[in-house]
Amino acid sequence: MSAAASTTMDAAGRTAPARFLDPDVLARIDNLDLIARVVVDGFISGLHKTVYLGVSTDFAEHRQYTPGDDVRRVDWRVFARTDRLYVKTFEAETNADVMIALDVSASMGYASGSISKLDYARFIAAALAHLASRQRDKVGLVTFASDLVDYVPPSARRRDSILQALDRARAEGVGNILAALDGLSERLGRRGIVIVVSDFYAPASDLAVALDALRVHGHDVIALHVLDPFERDLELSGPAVLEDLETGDRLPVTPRGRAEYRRLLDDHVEALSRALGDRRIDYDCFVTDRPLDDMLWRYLSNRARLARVR
Amino acid sequence: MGLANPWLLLALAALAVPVLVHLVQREEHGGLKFPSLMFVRKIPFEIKRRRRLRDRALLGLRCLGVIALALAFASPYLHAGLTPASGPGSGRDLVILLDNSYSMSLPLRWRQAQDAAAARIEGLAPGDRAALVAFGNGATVVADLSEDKATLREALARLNPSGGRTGFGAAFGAANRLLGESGAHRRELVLITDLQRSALEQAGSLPLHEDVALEIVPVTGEAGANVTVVDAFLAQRGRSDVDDKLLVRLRNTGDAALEAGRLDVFIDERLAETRNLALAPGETRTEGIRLVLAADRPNRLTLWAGPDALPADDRYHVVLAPRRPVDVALLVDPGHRHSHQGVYLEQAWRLSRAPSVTTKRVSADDVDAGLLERFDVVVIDDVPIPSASTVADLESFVRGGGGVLAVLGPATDRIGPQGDVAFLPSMVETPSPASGTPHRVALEHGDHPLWAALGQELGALFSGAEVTTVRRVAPNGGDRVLARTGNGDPLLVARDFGAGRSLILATTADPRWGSLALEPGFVPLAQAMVAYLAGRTGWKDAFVAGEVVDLARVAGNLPDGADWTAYLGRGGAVVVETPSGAALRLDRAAGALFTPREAGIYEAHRTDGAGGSIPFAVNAARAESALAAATMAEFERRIVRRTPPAVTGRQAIRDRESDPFGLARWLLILAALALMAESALGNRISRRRLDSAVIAR
Repeated sequence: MSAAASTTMDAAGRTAPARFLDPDVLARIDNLDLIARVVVDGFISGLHKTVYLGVSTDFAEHRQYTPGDDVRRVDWRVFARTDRLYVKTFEAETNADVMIALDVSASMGYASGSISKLDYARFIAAALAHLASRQRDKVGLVTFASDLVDYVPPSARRRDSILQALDRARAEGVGNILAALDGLSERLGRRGIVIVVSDFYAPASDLAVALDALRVHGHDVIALHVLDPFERDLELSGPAVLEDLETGDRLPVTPRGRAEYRRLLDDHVEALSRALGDRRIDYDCFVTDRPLDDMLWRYLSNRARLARVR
Repeated sequence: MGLANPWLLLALAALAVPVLVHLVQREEHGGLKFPSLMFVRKIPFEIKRRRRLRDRALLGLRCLGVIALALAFASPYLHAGLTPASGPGSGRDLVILLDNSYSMSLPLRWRQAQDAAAARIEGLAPGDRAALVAFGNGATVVADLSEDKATLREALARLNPSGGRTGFGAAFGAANRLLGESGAHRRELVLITDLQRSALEQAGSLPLHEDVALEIVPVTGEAGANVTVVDAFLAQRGRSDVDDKLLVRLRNTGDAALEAGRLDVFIDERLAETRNLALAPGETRTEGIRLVLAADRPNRLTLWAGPDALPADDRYHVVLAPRRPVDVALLVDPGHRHSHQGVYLEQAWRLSRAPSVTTKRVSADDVDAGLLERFDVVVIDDVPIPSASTVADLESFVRGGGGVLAVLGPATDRIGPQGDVAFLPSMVETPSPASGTPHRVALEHGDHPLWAALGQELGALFSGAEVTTVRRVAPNGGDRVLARTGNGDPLLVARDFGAGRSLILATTADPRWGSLALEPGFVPLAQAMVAYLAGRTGWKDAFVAGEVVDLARVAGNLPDGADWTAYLGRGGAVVVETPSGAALRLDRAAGALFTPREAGIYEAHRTDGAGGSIPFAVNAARAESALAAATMAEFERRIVRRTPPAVTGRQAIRDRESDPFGLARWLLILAALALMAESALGNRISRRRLDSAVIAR
């Protein structure tokens, strides 16, 4: 783990985000909380502080300085007046609700390697929950297939509940992301960030409409598309019959169909990216053999942008 | 053309397997899980449906393979007119083993068995020979190999179920002997039996000549209720000292409940007691019955339990007789007659009833020939024999038939004044041995009469005994070490000397050198030792049919039978009256040994008329009452051949004559070829099906 958690230096000597988040390594850790901490804490240690700090800036009160407090928070004006050291504390209130919506339909259970799409998505969700907790955001979780399956309302103190819900999530049932998103938009109250993690098996235009409905309700929406390498490339060594994980339908294919399949999938990803971008919805596609820090970087950038907007 | 194992054609039902495999594979061939076919569906493709014809070829090959295998195992033969076992043929020797143990006396079973044997006799073709062997306790050739059907029929008609127990070993021995002497090129064995499980468990492996075809004809079926008296024995003297309590153990060995049964007790053929019985299948019950028995003569008891399906085991006979007491002289140190010496042994003997033991303490100095005449056994408990004359008297006493038990302890640094004595094993260590580590007791020679008298729970009796110190004893080649300590030192050694016996116990018969005297087995051991030394080990209240009975020993236990040994030694003759009324005179070679075959109460007496009649009871082996049958497969597993049997089992005939063209071999080859072709075609079809089922762009 220590090797995995190490950071690297770029040519300029800056600390770069660690590229340690190999999904295969994470798949061997049977503890979501630990995974989340390893992912987030290791990642944060390589980030510039400004990315992380400055979110909660509302002054709350003064508190007497105790050894260990950051000296930059010492209120020198008060010191000048009273000759005593006080530090400024800031309001710990969350300025955003973060709702993670995780697709748990049967197609998410697919794994061509050691880690399934659902496991990868679970790591993403756990890491995001941990990160949000560190930033004192309220974080919640909803899992869905054709409808909402599990729901943990946003809270600053329910990270354990989220991890438990992630633990018990099983990939089963036929998915209907459009219906599920519709239900979710009715369920969510206060405006916040909605992160949808799914394999997005629905027409891109329909998905864009469904996700836009969330945005229209005032949420900042991030769509994270999870794909398996085999699902993306369809690297067949010979003829095969493919069986749909959700419907059980079977269809024969040969390697000759691969190019056509790749083209269709790429079109879908491109259409999703374009349609969601038009609606100011962040979209990113992740393949489960890729490290997780890309995803975190994307999330934090979005949070920073949100902070600037506000 | 016929089939030696037509029932193996049932394997054709396996044809369903390739059909199912075929159907299932059509549905599931090459299934590769995939998250969604959303984009795959959009790939244009066409399917060339040529697979149906190929699939049929595949199915045909699979079915051909299964059919060929089933036919091969069914052993087809082309020998015209030949049918297995019971059919006509030529030059065939057939031995019919007919079980006539008493479990076969169930009416339906015996009739089935006779019919089966008769059918085999009638099926003999000209040139065929058959022999009929009945087996129970032993095997009897009731008709030797013969072509004469009439002789065989008569022999079969004379047969009845016996009172014996199923003896498969003797039966196969007789069959092997007959068939081994046969010069026929086809040798067959037909076994007609109820496959009694208890008998099979006793049988061990059953050797059978190679190339002998075996047909087993099981005659089983529902038995019904069968209550049997397992055993009966006197438990205790009654309160009034006049009546005795007889314990009778009963068991329903049948497969149905006994609803309105009855237990009758006859004493000297007069009904003395009746009890009602109701027993569930497998239930065992002990009935306690108070009886007034004659104290001065043998009581001949017959217990009848029934009515049930198997009358042959309804009666149980037992002789309860007053036993001649054993007189024991316990040698003690002169002047210490009331010491602790022999206290544990005395207490054990006081409890003995069969036989009762009378102990008298005698000073070692007082021993002489005249005194010894009054005793059956002399016990030397940790006291040296004081003089050479005493040694000589004791030696003479043992040589004449007496018994000596020497118990070694701290005071026994030597046995006789000169060291060793002839009638006892030697001591090799004279100084007092130091106390050592406690050692367990290991018993040896389980078939010795001393141990036999203690019964099957022998090991448990001494499981907790520990001996700390022993005198080292050096047995000679003729001695038998009956027990040793855990480190191998002899603990109890037996020696036959003249007409008598001696035992040497190398440790104390009290707690000084170990816990032996405190063990639950000590009391029966002490009683068995004096019974053995006094020559009273041959008595049983009831013997089992087929068991060898030593009439001299039986008589020696009874008050009137004391001099049977001497009488027989002088060449005297004995007559035994059987329960069926026959009088058998035992020849001199047999001596006093007699093997009863019939259940009932026998009476033995000397031809000189002295000593009165000696009764003894004989019962059929109770294990034969257990009617549960073994399976054919279990039975066949017991059969051992020098080479793998051509075929074993029902209707099994398969030799080179019956399949001269090797049909079975060719069928196996055909099956192998079909299955290989199926594999090749299956692989080819799999590949092409996918190639042809997709994307034509």
